[in-house]
Amino acid sequence: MDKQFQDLYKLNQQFSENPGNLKKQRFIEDEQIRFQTDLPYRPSNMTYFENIMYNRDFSSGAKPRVGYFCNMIPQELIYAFGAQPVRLDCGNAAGALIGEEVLCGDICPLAKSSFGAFLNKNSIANSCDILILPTSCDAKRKMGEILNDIKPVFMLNLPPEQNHERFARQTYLEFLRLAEFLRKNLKLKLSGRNLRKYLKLGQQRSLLVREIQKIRTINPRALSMCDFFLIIQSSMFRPVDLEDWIEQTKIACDEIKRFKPPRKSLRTKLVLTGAPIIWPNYKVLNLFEECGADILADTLCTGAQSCFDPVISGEWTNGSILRALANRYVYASACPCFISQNTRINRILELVDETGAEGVVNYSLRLCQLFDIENYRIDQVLKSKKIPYINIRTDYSLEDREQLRVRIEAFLEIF
Amino acid sequence: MNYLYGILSQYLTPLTSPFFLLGLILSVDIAFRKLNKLTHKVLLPLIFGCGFFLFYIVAGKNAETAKWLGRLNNPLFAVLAVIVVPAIFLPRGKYYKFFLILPLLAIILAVADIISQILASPEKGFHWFLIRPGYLIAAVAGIIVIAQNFLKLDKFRNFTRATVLVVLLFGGFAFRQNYTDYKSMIERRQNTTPDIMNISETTPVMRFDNRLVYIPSAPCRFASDGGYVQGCIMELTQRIHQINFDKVFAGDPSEVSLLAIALAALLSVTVLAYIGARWWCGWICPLSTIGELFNFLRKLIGFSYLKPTKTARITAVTSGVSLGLFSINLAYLYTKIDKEGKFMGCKIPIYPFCKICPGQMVCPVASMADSSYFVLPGMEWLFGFFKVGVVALTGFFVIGFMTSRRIFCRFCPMGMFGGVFNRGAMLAIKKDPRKCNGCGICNEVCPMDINSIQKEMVKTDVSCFDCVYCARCIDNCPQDKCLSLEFAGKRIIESDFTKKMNNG
Repeated sequence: MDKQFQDLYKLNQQFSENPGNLKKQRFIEDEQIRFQTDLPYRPSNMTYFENIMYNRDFSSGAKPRVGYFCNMIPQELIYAFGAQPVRLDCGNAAGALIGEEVLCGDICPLAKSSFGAFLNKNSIANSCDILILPTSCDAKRKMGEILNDIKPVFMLNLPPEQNHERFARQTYLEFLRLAEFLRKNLKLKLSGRNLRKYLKLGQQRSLLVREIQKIRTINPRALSMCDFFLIIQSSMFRPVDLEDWIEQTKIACDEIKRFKPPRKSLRTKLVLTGAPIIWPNYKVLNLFEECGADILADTLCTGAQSCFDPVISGEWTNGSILRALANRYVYASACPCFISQNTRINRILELVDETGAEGVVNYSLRLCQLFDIENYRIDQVLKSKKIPYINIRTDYSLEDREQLRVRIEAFLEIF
Repeated sequence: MNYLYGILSQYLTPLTSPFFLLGLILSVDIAFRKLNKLTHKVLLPLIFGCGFFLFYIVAGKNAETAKWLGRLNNPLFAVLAVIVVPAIFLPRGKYYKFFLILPLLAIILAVADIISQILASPEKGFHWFLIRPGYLIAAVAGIIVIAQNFLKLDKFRNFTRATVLVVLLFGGFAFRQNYTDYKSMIERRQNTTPDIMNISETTPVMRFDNRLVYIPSAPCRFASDGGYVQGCIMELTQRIHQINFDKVFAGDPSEVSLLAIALAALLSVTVLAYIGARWWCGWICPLSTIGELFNFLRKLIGFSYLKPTKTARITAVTSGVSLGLFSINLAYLYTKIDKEGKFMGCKIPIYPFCKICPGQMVCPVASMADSSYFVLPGMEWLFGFFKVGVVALTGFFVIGFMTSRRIFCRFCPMGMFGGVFNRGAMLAIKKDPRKCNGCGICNEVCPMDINSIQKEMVKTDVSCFDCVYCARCIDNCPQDKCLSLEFAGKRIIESDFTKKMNNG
């Protein structure tokens, strides 16, 4: 395989010496944990997902760990190599502060915060053996180069346009290259049987997520969106046994299916779209929860949308499955890094129809230009369809919480 | 049984007309689209049916009209109208199982006919299954309609294909009409003169030999003992071109009747194509079923298929069109040959396209079971155009199906005829663009490698020229209710990932 990076000006790994910041990170996490524990109507086996998510012991396990960013990296492929995929996107507001020490200040908090985890000695990011990044935005592209000094990095080249006819083969070759990189660096072989097994597990996961979403459209109080996000993210952001996860989610799903609301819910139903919301940055979700609105569905790459599309392969050969992975992870993605935003607008309108939601919330992360620019068209389209719409432009910091609360309460007054 | 068959054929004659089938489907279509009340929906087809019976009886009084209507009659249309159309349009509720009595009855009648013919045959011994075509087609349709209730879409398609393949390939000897018909077949088998013109049943002959209708895909006449149906659309086109029009204009009665029969066949095959379009390719065509076996072999070995490049696809289509047209011209030149069988010094065979068509190489091999003829009748014509053509196309057939699924079907002129009816006719693939997530699995599983379904983000009708209606895209689509197959306004299949996964 041709090398992507030359180690000509390689720098040594450095760690941030800022114990106060680490304390602050833990504090933010604890705040979110406390908020979520106090939520009403939680499934009884929520502790399973919490244990996964709140675990602070990041020592590497039996399997080699592969860290990846964004929802365009095929988890199934990493699993099939016998490795443990861990998504490294980070949502900690304090992490963004130390990320700034290396990255410049004017990039999105997600990148800064994720990079901040690498400056922290005891973090899941540093327990990974190799890293995979897609070229989804400028921050990821350059972060990959910096991270290559620390660990072997593979940059997955994405086509700029989701033109399946023109770029499907190119993407497939790119995925082949990724498989080659994994084989070389993990010194493990790709097992066809494992690939098929995890493909099926992935399909089951999508099916469960779909089912929970369906239940939530009828009965939003059965599971709060925070907990739904936590369940989904525990299967990606931490080392997890997917089979166990599916079993536990099934139990939780059965439980929320049986849920009977004590009285009629008058809470506003909303659809969430926009930038990723990653634990512990559930600021917006918490605010909507508190202000009396239910988010029924989302198009977030860290929410239900991330698992909504299953990988379907026409045949069971490795090549065919790789093609199917490329299709699902690149061409079914609603990320704004691709030229056309039609898919996302279609998805929003479809979700509004499907769930009977009354309004749409756009969560736009400050300094992520892609989401910011797309915002205009979504605004205009929704206005023409007479769907109430609010754009919440904020970053990770918790300081603007009360200002946002005022805005959200004012927005909810419409209904 | 003879008595019963007499009664059935006497009273059900109007049903065997293609116009009845066409009118029935159109009236049901209108009933489903325009009318709301259930009684009205039932009433409109009923009124049409009664009207058509009346019309048929009145038209039957005129000898000339009766002759023309009689030429179009075929049990296939009756079976489609009585068994298949209700199976499509009847609501799948609690009472659907009462309808299934009808196909069951057809199967029982077929079995009874076989038994009665065995008992009636003067000579003891094994004569395969002697059965009248009407009963056989009804029984096959009945089996398929009943099987549909138990099988998943993928299995059901393969089941249909296999069932039809047996009839089309082995029907030539396995399902003869009666004992005398069987004897005449055995007699013809003794004739092993190497001249291809004499092998009357293996080669399509210039006469109407009481076989069934043409069907639009490639039901090859070169299957052993002539297969079960008359042939494909290319055979019919060449047949029409081989008719000596000088004689027709001079009023030669035999030539005129040949033309009349061929035109009637063209009309009924057009009706079938209008109803089924390229569905016949995806579900019925024996050539593609044999090709799918090669494809299955590739899957067994574990090779991933090759995606044909755009150039390869365009080359296949253009060469199919040009070769088809060239052969039809050659067929026309057949009427101009001199006594040595030559035109301008070149030998021109009868049915020139069949001489290069892979079906003529593949079908006899596949149905060799009881055929005593020379396997590859085309070999006698190994010279020039035909020599290169037969080797190249058979190679293309085998390698095409082995490596990149149905690339051959883009070439196939028989399929192109159906493709003309793919848009605007009865079958349509519909897409709800808003539900599409753009994953492209419809392109990935499509044996014809169609991109337009994935790309279309505005229109709802996504059927296109190449589509063979195998419904794999609908079966595999991960978005519930995104893709669907519509037949005359009725939604037959719908993509439903949740249901598919929950059923295992």
